[in-house]
Amino acid sequence: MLRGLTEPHEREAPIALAAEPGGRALLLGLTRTARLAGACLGMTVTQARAIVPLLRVMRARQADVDAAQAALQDLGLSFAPRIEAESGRVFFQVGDLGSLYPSEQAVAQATRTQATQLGLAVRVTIASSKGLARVGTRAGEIVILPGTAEAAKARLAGLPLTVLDLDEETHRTMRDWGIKTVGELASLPGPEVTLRLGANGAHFHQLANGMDAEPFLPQPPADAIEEGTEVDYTIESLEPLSFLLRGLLDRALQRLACRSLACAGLTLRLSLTPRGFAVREIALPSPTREASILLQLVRLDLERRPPDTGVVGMSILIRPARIRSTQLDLFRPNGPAPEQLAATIARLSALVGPEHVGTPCVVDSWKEEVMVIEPPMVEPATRPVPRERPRENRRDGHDEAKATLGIRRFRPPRDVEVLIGPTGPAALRGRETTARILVAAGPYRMSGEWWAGGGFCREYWDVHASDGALYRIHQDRETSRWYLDGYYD
Amino acid sequence: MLGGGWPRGALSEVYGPRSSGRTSVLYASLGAVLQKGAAAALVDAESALDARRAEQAGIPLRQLLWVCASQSQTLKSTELLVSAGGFALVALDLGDLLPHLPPTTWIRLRQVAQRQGTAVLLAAGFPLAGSFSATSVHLQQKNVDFGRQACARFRPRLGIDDHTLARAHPPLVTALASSVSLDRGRRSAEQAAHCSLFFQEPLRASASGEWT
Repeated sequence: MLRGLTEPHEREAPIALAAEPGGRALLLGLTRTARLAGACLGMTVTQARAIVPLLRVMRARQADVDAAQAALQDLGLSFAPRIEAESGRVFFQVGDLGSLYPSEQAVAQATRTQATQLGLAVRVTIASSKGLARVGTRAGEIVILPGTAEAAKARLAGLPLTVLDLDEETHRTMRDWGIKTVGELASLPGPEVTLRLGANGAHFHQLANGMDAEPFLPQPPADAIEEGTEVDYTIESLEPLSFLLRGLLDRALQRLACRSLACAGLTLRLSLTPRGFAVREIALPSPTREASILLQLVRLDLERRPPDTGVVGMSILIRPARIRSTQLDLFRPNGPAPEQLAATIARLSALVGPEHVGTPCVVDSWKEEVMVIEPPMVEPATRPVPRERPRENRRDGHDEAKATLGIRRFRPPRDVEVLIGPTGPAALRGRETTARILVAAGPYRMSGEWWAGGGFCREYWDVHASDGALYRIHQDRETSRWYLDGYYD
Repeated sequence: MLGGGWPRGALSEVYGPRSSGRTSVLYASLGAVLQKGAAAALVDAESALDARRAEQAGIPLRQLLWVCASQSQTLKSTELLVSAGGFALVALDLGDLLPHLPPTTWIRLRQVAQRQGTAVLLAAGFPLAGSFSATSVHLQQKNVDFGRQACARFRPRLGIDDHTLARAHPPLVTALASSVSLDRGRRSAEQAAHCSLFFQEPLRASASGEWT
């Protein structure tokens, strides 16, 4: 829950998080400075302030609580494909990690290290069941309980009863009986405990004996990753919004990295003041893990379409995708690495807009200027089929190479005035050029697409103008207006 | 004429007025690179690319990375592409634009190209890179052919006479010839002299009048 503290000075100050205002609220999170000063989790605010007078108590925002819980789940997913989550805890099986880590201690230490990278302070227990794992997290930072019930019982024997998290009635009964440790509870006869304390008592007795029948029920991971935050003031400009957004993106991408995934697209939801939301969809040409690229794309979108009012909260929903590894070809020339190319494409999209980066594609249309731009291909292409190269030959003693004549399009076609002479177009006048027409070739009439509702009928001419250029012009037969399509070059 | 194509790791430019053939040279260069399986990108300052013509020029469109940038974004986009590495050719098509750029722009671009081993080809209406380009080619229009595209094989079947056929298929541009002069390059001016480029329409009439 302290993940929401993004300022460096906040992380070094004695700060605690509480679920609700007031002196009796329990502390849910502490910075390292507050912990070292003597405050502990589970204390009330009043108790903590008595020990640490300079303690600053912040209210835990629900968005931060939810984000921390989601990050905890991603922590589990980074070690095992199946997890079970409950409030403030995540369970996962470590039996398959023997080939990756030399010992259970190493697994526990790696878990804490990964959690630190995600901004979480966790306690890790490795046990044979969920119930024993819960007991272990109350006993210490890293607890390894043996696999057999007898050994686990011996390990838990000396611990106080508080590790079992007894309900109030059972706790009172234990106090009345003079039972103070887990070992003393385990030594009681089981049927008698069940008779006097009921099912609850039987459950605690079983735990004290190192036994637990609670099954592991894995849940599928969430399809999307969500991070959010709320603020107590109104954000009116882009800079502070970008600062908060960067923190959210960093946390979300760290969680993606736990799952070995990348961001394929994100949805930004801004909570506006006094009420309402603004939603922005950010599309990516290819999955990426670079926060700077995502931030640049979001900034670009917000600069184009800023929210109507101030912002009091935001959340991002990231759609994860796998980065596919590609096999390069020994016989193809070196090309850009797919991941590097994806990052470059994302940067280009942030610079010029995603709709201006891609591969051109011919559209099946009778209009010759129509084309679309498709998302760029990131993976290396298959080997091309060798085509016949244009033959070089000598003509009149000169070296001559032949190639296809290209044309440069004006997008959109430019309006132009055409003066008509006895043999056809005689002169052009417009923004692009004003010139006499030396040679006019045409007309070539084309019409079609009347079946699709937006039919056209045009008359094309190729004209050699006195400015030296070879223009392609057409007249729309329905409106009689002339347009400059482009020029051969 | 160039003595081995556009040099890698260097800046090259091809310039000329409208209809001198620089776009056709650009398409041919991109097609030649992409046909070999290498990567190429085109930064288009005027969004002037014609996909049909590019495909007919031998450019496999699915392998071409096309960036439509405004005048102020073209150099930055080109730098990003060249810096990424792995591209055999990055072409910058400025068209008829005349951007006012400091010389340091070309120095920086040349240095990045040198580091990555990428050939950068600049196509513009005027020489822009000056002495910072390793190769500079000047194109000038020499001749334009207007041919008549006749479809002889359909004539007997449809009973169309020559006059009607001429009206139905009027002449259009069939070819453009350009003279080439090498301002700067690996070969000397004498070695590179007497060169011309002949650009043909993809669909042209042969001597027999059949479609080809």
